[in-house]
Amino acid sequence: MLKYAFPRSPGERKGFTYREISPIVQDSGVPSWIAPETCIKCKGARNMCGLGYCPILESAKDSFPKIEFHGKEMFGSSPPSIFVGRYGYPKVYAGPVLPPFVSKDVEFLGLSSRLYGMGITEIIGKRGALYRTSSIYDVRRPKEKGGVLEATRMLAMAEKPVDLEVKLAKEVKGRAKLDFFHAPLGPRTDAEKARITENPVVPRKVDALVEDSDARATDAVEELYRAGIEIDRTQNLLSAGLLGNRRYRRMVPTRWSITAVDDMLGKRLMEKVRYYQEIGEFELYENTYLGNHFNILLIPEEWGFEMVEMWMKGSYWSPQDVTMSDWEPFEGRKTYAENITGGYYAARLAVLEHLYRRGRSAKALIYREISPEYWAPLGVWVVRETARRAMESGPLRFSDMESSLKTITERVHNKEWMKHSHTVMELRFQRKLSDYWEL
Amino acid sequence: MLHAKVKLNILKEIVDTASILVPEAKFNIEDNGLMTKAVDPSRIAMVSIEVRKEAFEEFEAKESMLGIDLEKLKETLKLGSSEDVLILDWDKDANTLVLKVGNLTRKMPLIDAGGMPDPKMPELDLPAKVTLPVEEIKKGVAAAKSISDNISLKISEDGFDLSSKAEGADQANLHLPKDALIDIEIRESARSTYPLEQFSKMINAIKSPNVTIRLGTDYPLDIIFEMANGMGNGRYLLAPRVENY
Repeated sequence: MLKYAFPRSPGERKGFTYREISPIVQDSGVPSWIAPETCIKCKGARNMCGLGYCPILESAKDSFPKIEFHGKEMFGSSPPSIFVGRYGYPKVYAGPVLPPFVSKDVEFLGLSSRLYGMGITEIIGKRGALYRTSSIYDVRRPKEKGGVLEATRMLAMAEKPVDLEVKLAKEVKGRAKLDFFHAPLGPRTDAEKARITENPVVPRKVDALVEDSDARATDAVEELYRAGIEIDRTQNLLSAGLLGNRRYRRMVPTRWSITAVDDMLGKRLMEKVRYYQEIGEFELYENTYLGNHFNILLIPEEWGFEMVEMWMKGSYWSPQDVTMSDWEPFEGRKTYAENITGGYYAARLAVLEHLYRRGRSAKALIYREISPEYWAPLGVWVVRETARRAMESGPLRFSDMESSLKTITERVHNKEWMKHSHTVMELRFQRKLSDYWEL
Repeated sequence: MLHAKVKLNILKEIVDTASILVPEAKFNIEDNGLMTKAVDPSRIAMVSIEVRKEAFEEFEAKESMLGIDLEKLKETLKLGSSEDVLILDWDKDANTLVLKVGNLTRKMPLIDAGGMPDPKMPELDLPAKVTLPVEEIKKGVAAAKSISDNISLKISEDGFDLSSKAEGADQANLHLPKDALIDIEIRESARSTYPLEQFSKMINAIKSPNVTIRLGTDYPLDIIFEMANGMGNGRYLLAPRVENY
């Protein structure tokens, strides 16, 4: 039934260097008049080139083999996972995500913490076999008896993989879809009916918050987090329009819900972390995953956050080295981090989780370098999980800023990275009143 | 103990002066007025406020400390108009501040002031000093905003200069010769650079028409101004940026 082969990454072939690994950008057909910064800021999400589609994402799609599903009845186990599209908002595609087979071993496909550690090819291969079966719904009416939407809502609440039957409108032919925000997914197809064939297990906390028609979405998200519900599950719940004050419940496109949850949780933790005691030394954390090299420096000062990112020549979005930065002061930020976008909020959450656990406060400076080894975007979870793992590693400790910065510079390709950092300039040039007298 | 009647715009001036630096502040109440001092979280700026009891319509107090959430108080002040007279009472047992504006009563829990720091504000020996209208400085700040994150202040025999410079050729300079200033005192000329954002917040929060600026070279800036129609005074200190580290 299923004709599917894992795409071979060009890196698996012999004799390839980094530069050659990224055929996507070279042949992507991005018009030459579009500045490379534009693609990095947009990441296929904001139509900043005005073409109406993303040539990079489209050509990436073409490098994966077509997968096909013959027949109109799909029976499979959802990890559980759902997808809410954003085209046509507020009337969007929404529905279950499932592979065309029944298995209890699909759970890891829906949990970014368990995808961490796999290779790019493996992730695209395995996630690419998940079909997005969906119908069009109005996000303002996230309720419907029976039908695809009800199944979707039940999936969003489930804790373990759920078997379901989906009646498709036609046979499926398509390719895996890549996205900067969410993990790769397989082709989309119209669903006519969806029926869950077992009783899904719903965690008590989830059930309580879905029933709670007064709690604000932010409070609900925080409560789920404190109850130890995985962040991917919370995103599903928010996406399905199951959280928040009943009057304002909406379905939220998957892509938006990911950053929304990272931001909400980050803000909540920040309220606490701001007032904790500051750390005593400079601490430097490091981790690399799939060509994403993170150096995270904690500075013994009041809370603040900056992320500097360099997309190396030949990495996913960029035909040349491009460095960008976003930052926020103690009070937080009010505008979207439009240079770094989703990854900013994911990394900020990872750092805040660490500080919150320790009950300490610090200023954080992240330098992320993306090499051509990261040849396909896998989603914001890569940033969150890589940064989380970095914060779990033992840090190098420094008593002064310059030696900690020097250590980062020795480790990375772009020796000039500091020039892009607001925090570094601030630390070097801005004096404190306490430098002049004891406060 | 505290019982006071005060015009809303005066209380608002006090709150606005402090809230640009800190979300909450400790007010020391004495029988002849109130005062507060606070340092911003990044420790680059500091504010000190003293308002005498004459600024109030009525003021009865015994020595006490109140920790106040300035953001909350600000919200409450939006409920009245500037000429309204506000009644303030401190309910010691419930540890709340009770505000009455007209027929409206707002009770506000106080923050534990014990844990809030009492920053030291030393007597600074600064070589240059000017007094000038705030409006003039505002012009210089507005011009600098589109150019740089920094602003340089200079006091010399020629007068007072506010300037900012970008990496390219963009530059703005506000020069006020001696006769455009209300007062100038110089031991030696002084020049320092400050973060524009904080400087501009401070200048915009000042309600009095004139302001005195005391300056040293690569040294914190001292801004002194009147508050509550002359019945109080305020002071901001701001740490400089130093180019060669």
